[in-house]
Amino acid sequence: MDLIFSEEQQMLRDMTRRLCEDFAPLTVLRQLEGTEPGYSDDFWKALIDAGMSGLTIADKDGGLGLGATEMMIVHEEFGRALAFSPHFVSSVLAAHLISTTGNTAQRQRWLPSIASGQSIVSIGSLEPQGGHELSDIQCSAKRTATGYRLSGTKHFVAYAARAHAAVILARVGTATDDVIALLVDLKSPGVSIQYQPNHAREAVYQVTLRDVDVSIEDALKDGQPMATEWQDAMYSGLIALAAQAVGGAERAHAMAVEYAKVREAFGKPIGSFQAVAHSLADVAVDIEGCRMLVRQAAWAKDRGYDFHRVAAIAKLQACEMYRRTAGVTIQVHGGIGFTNDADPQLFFRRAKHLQLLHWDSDYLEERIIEMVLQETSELSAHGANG
Amino acid sequence: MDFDFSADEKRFIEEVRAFLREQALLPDAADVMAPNRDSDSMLSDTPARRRFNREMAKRGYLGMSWPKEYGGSEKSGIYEYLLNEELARVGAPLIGKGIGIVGKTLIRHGSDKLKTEFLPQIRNAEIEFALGYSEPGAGSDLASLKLKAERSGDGWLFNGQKIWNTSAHFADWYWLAARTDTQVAKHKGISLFLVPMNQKGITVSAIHTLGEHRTNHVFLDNVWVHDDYRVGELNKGWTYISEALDFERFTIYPFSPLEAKLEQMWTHVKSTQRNGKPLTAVPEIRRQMARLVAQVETAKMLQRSVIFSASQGGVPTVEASMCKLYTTALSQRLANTMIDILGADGLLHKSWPDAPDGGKWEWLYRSSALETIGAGTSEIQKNIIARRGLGLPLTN
Ligand SMILES: Cc1cc2nc3c(=O)[nH]c(=O)nc-3n(C[C@H](O)[C@H](O)[C@H](O)COP(=O)(O)OP(=O)(O)OC[C@H]3O[C@@H](n4cnc5c(N)ncnc54)[C@H](O)[C@@H]3O)c2cc1C
Repeated sequence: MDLIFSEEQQMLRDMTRRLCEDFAPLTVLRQLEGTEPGYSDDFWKALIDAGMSGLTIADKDGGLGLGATEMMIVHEEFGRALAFSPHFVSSVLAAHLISTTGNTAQRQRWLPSIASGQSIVSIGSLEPQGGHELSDIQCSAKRTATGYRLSGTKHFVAYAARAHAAVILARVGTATDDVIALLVDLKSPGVSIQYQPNHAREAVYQVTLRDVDVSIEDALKDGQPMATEWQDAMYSGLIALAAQAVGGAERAHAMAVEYAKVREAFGKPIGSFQAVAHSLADVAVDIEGCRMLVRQAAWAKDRGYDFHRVAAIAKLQACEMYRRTAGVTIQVHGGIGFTNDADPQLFFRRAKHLQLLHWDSDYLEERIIEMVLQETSELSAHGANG
Repeated sequence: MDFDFSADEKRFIEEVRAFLREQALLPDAADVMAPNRDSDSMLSDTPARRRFNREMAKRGYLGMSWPKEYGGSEKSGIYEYLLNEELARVGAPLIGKGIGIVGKTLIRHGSDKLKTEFLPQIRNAEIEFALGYSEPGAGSDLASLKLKAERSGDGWLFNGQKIWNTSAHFADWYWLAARTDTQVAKHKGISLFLVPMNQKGITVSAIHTLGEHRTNHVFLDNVWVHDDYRVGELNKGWTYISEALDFERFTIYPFSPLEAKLEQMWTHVKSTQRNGKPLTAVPEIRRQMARLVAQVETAKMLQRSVIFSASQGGVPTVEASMCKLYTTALSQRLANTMIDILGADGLLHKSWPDAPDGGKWEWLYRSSALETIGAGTSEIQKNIIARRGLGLPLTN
């Protein structure tokens, strides 16, 4: 066992941390929250200049070709800094989908330009009132002579105002899995986008599609249902999201620990009260467990092992942990913790978003149970044979 | 044993409900009653709110427990509690600060001059107060407050700062705790004063919160007030503050908002489908709802225990701490559970037209973070339960 990052990985972490500190301090976040486009151009440019926008995109497609561990390292820093950018949606999720399901033309069109930061590609999966199940996708794609005609509404489409395209998940049939993915130019006739004010004050949009014609050339996987590939992209993405949660929680927790050392009540630091000290200790345990879970998930993916179950566990645990940690951080700060001027609330609001926006706890628990039952039934089948 | 309210108490509840139904029809009702924002209406000043409070005064709802000589009707405090429950249910401003804390303290300890000047104004809802207790360095440990009051001519000169003084930006008078003796134990050198909020030397600056409420930081720079506006005896302030808290245990933790939230959750759960099934048929949701139903019932019982003890003339310090501790944590769990049930759309802010229940849950998830902090943090409630309730030799 060796749980130490390689020298290159440590350099990547330090570089990302420096970029975040230089270009995405919390003061910048405060200016960006609730505004459009909702991320700092300077920060995004700095990431692009450092090659980060192509972090996990293959060399041959113009990226750095790095693995899940590097992705985790970078996203842990993004989480720690609460650094908003299109990195997750475009360079991680969309790039993964396009590289696993795109034909040569699509890959050539999009991957180098995502890697170089020239294009931002968003994802439209969630719908109004919809959960994360494939059956919740109601947006419909009807076959036409030249492609598809799309109709429906998507919620929480990140950075849609700046995105050059979005991968829209749409239904072509009644079976649960009859879901295809189309690359849609958000400037097409029939597309309208609207900023959705939200809890974390992130730049997410409602995208309304009214009879939007999409060419057959923009259908991923040649218009075949691609539920498995979508899920595979999400399982990879979960590692980045869980890493963000760990980074954010570590920072929030460190703030609370620091505050507990300096804030005095009854003539002593509040950290000397066991009620405060123990709740911070509980959180430390949670964070440590989740940090290891996320690392294990990244390692498993990089080794080519089946990583879905550990990735789902990491996301489930890390996001619930982050939420609790952010709550404890507010509580330890007392009245100050409830003000907008203090930083704990920034983490508190972000934590709930991370938990709910991409595969929430309900959905993850279902997947975990399915996978565990599957494994145990395979085990007993083996037992019977041997 | 009887868990029911008496016939007269029930009649009173019906009367208040009828009054509130009437008020709900008025054009300015939305400014007074905001059931989706708890008693939000209490935290800002609107003409509607002042009108509503005067209407309450006219109905005799202000000062019900006060002695007759001060215009009260000498009713049991339970009526004030019941009134607050109904106000809280519709999100109208609660009674308490003026009638309870200021009014009852003046009745017991105030000079004739202060009684004559303030009690009628309080009873007629002509006056608003801000409570000036907490300081940047004195929250949980309130008795360590430092704001200085020094003798100056026939009055007092105040210097220092206060924080978290809700409504200080619109209040008329300040109910101010200040240090009048630095040579004695911290509890023994505090006095209470009434200071006009517009007095020279007071600066009020806004603090904005996660709950989208305003509270205030208040700076006092050579603020002068005549000794007539000292409340009760010199250096007895801490006793009065604690005593006032005891009066208020009756009224400050209404339970009806929890019940109303649970009802609203049911409305959603009953009318929403998931995978073609109503949410009421989803086993996980059923269990979550059952747990909340049980917990809300438990909260109600903890609160009944406070009311009962108070109605018997007791001072239910420990019961009130139990009730506050449990209820506030429950309120946070409830908001979290509901957002989880709503899924991603639960994150939409009230300014999005289709936000579920007008964005109530997203807001509640934020605003309820205060509940375990304000009016004595959960940790402090546990200390009270352990020390006063269990007699444990807690040190701090
Ligand atoms: C929105 C808002 C409105 C308010 N309105 C008013 C108002 O109108 N008037 C007014 O005077 N005040 C008001 N308050 C102040 C409120 O009562 C205090 O914030 C509260 O008592 C906590 O004090 P603090 O913020 O100084 O936290 P601290 O006392 O600094 O507490 C920090 C942390 O230490 C813990 N802690 C402290 N002592 C102990 C101990 N002995 N054992 C274990 N843990 C401990 C606390 O539980 C908390 O987690 C308001 C506060 C807020 C946020």
